[in-house]
Amino acid sequence: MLSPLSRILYVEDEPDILLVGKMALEAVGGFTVIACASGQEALIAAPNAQADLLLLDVMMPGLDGLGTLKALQKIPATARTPVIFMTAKVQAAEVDVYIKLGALEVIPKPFDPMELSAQIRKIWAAQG
Amino acid sequence: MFPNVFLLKIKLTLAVSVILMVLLGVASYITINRLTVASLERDRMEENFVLLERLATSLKTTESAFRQYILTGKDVDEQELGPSLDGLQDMLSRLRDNHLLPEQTTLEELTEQRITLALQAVAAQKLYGREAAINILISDQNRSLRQQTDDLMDILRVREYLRLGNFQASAEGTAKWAKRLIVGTCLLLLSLMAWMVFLITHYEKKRALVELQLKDSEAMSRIITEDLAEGVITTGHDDIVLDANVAALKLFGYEKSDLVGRDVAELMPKDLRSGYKATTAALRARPESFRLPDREIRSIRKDGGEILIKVSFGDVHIGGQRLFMAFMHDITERKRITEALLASEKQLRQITDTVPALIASLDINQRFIFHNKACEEVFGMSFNQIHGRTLAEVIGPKTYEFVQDKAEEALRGYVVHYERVQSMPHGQFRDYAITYFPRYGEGQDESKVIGFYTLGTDITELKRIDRMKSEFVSTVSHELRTPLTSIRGSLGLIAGGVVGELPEAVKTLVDIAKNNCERLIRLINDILDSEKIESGKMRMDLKNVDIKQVVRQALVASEGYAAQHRVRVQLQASDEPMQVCIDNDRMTQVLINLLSNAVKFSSSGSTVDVRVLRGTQGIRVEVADHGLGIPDDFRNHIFQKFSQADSSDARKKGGSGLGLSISKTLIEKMGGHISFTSALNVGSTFFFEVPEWQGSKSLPLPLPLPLPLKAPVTSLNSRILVCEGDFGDAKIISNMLVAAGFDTDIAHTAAQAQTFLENNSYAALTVNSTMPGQNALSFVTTLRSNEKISTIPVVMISTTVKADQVQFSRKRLLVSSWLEKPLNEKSLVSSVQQAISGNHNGKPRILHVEDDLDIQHIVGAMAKDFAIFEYATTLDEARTRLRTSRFDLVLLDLALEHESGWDLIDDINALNPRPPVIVFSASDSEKIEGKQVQAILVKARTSDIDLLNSFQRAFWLPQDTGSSTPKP
Repeated sequence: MLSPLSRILYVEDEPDILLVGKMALEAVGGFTVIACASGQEALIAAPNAQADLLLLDVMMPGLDGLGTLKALQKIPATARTPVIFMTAKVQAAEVDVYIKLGALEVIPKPFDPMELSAQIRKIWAAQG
Repeated sequence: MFPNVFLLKIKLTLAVSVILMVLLGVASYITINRLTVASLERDRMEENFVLLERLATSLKTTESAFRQYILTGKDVDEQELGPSLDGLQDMLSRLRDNHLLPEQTTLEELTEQRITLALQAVAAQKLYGREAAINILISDQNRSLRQQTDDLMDILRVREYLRLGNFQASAEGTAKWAKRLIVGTCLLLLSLMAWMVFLITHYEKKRALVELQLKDSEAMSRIITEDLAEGVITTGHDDIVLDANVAALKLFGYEKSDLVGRDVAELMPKDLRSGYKATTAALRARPESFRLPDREIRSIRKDGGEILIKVSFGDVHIGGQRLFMAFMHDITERKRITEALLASEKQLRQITDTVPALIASLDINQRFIFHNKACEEVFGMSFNQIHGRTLAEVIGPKTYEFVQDKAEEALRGYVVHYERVQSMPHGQFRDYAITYFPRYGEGQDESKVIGFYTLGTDITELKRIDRMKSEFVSTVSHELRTPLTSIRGSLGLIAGGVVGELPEAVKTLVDIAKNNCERLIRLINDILDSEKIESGKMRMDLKNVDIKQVVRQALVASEGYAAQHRVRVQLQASDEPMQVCIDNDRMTQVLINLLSNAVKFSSSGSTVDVRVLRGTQGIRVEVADHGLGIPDDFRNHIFQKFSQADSSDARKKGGSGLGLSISKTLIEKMGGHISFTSALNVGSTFFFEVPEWQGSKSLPLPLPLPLPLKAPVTSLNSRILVCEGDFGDAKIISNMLVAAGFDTDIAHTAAQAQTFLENNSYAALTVNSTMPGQNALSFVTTLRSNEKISTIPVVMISTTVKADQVQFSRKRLLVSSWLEKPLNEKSLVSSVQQAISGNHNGKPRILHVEDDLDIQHIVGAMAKDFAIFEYATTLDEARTRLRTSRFDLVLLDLALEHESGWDLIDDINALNPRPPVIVFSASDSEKIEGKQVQAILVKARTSDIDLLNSFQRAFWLPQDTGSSTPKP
């Protein structure tokens, strides 16, 4: 898992946030971001995305973040890809569920665009 | 009895005396009579004797005279002879009168013949001379005659003499006999008299004694009746009062002299008198003794006041006299008190009946002795179905099984608070918060629990509101954060120069926008924190860290803000480590709050001093500014919510007014305290102290913190709490676990374990079955009843596994696995690892009846660690699976396509063993109608963790609890 982090599959239903987040990750962090506006879109994009990391929103219409993760984990390309949730739903009980599902960490919204990339790198490094 | 015997004795003695005296009299009479006769006889004999002598003499004299005449020739005066002869005749006649001489006639004849011979001689003289006369005198005839006379006289004398002697002897014998008789009788009489004297003396003594006793008992009975609290009135015939004791006199207000002699009926109101008279007359007419039981009677005092008395009435026999005694006491006051009590109880009942809460009082046997109307309504029972019945009877055996230990705890003197789902008469379920308060006895039983009070409040609505509030908070947190995320992100990127350099004016404006955006986020976070604190959902993830590290992080985080205000922040801290057990994030939050406050209220160019030092109660952190200080009137409520020195200040300084209130709570939750000192125009110093971590040598101070379930990502090691009374064994277990890569804490008693559990989160517990302080079963049961740690795996360690398992037999799922001492490292570590991964005794199987595949996946993913899921999308499919496999739980969606999940309930009920059912559906509007389900969870409203908890609980509960189950 110590491979360098470069490609991030980012799923966020809110277009504004998706745009800002993508910009922050690309411009500040220098990552390649595969941006998906829904879980379904992510499922389509995943097999060819070659993502090193999944960055998922939780509250999404249709297939939500948890469902998306479950589904992505069934796709061979993303079955073992580490995941970070980025959500406004960060009550302790909620965080517990994400962690139980295998998330590396949860980044609370609103996030600081200038810090986001550094935060993700830190989490990436911490997984050892 | 006694006098009768005495009298009989006296009478008998007297009778005997009289008989003796009569005998004595008779004997005396006879004796005297005899003596008298003897005396007369002697007199007569003596007279005869004398007469005989005199006769002899007279005869001789007469014959001498005659002879003299004859011899001398001298004339014998006839006159002299005449009397002599007459004397002879007289004597003879007297002898004849005494006629005791049988030879009287002979004597008279002889005497006659001698006289005649003498006269013949005299006559011969005269006629024939002396010779003739002498011849006659000396004649043989004369001689023989004289001889005969003399002999006869001698015989007579001797005979008389002998007779006299006989008489004398006879009289003497009689006298002797009489003397004996008299002496004997007198002796008898004397002894009788002595006997009588003895009897009388004895009787007198006895009588004196009896009299004394009588006197005593009279005095006693007087004392008793006089001093008796009960009134006693004694009446004779015709209801006339003979006596009354002090209490009775006091009762009726009479003087004794005044009451005695009155008709007792006068003590009654007029309307009762005739009835009373008739009754007593009837009673008196009955010959047998009677005593009427107490009855209440209205009575009249002398002053006319009416009183209510309780009277018992009966007869007594005293000195052969039949008297009637009435014992009475005033019950006016008692009646009044009783009525007041009844009224008060009625009032209490009315008050409690108007309260919608369940209010009841139960005795030591858990029987209802009081309950209000709400109980009847909620249980759907009548008064008599509840009153006097046991708790188990009223709430039903299934609910009671859940409640029993709580009731028993209350009876041990603890206040018990719990919540339960109550099924209502019409089939719906309500949430009730129940509190049992132990009830202590009075007086001697003051320290004894004699029952408990129960107070039950319907919290269904509260819970609904609470859920609404949580949902609202969750929505706000999401809905407000979503646009803020975009704004902050955009502004951040712009301000960060990502989209190119900005002109200075634009940059200033973007900074303003960005800062205010940050402020808005802080405000929302504060509000959410505040809500979490209030709802008790604030959780602490306590870790052992050096506080200086946290302080430095906070200083770094505040640097920008301080720079903005041109305030310098200085840290003073020693190099020695200062370990504390805190939630890193929350401590940072507190420090940033204190720092930003200090910076905010510092004048430009001044410094803020941060000092870390050892205080009196742990590690002390001080944040001191050199600002204006805190106004006096504000100091008392500085830690209250929404506190600002003045409201314009808040806007000027940009705070929510929640920061210090939140900081205070957070510090307290970490076991510390926070305070401040302030001087106007000099500055303020805020400081807090948190307990210094002493390592596992001693326990951390009790920290009232809820547990975080959040597993820290950074920590690779799971923490295990070793509950073990033996210090050596504890160390060994701990070492084995540490060697296997776990972190451990050691608790030596149940209480210590509880403290640890309250303050830290653990992946699992090892528990010795004989830990001091609490029975292992009750310890584990307690854990399970605590919602926050109800799912924590427990590995039981025992020297007597088999015996201990029996205790747990009904609740076997409480424990993940059992290990026997002495322990082997491998089995200990693998047991703990298996317990943590939930891989104990094979995972339970859950049938998830759900037509939404997404939900299937989500739930399945969530519970994959501890359960195996099988799915059914239609009822038919579900029925097939239920027929072919055994499930430990059925998770049921009600709104299936074209079908209702409820229709499966009957199929499930038919199963043996019947698996518990959790309804997990989109709406709770469906009627439950007493269907036996473990929990009803509503999709949109149920957090994932609630769902998981419900699963866990369903597995741990006995499967037949039916509807009396914990709520979601």
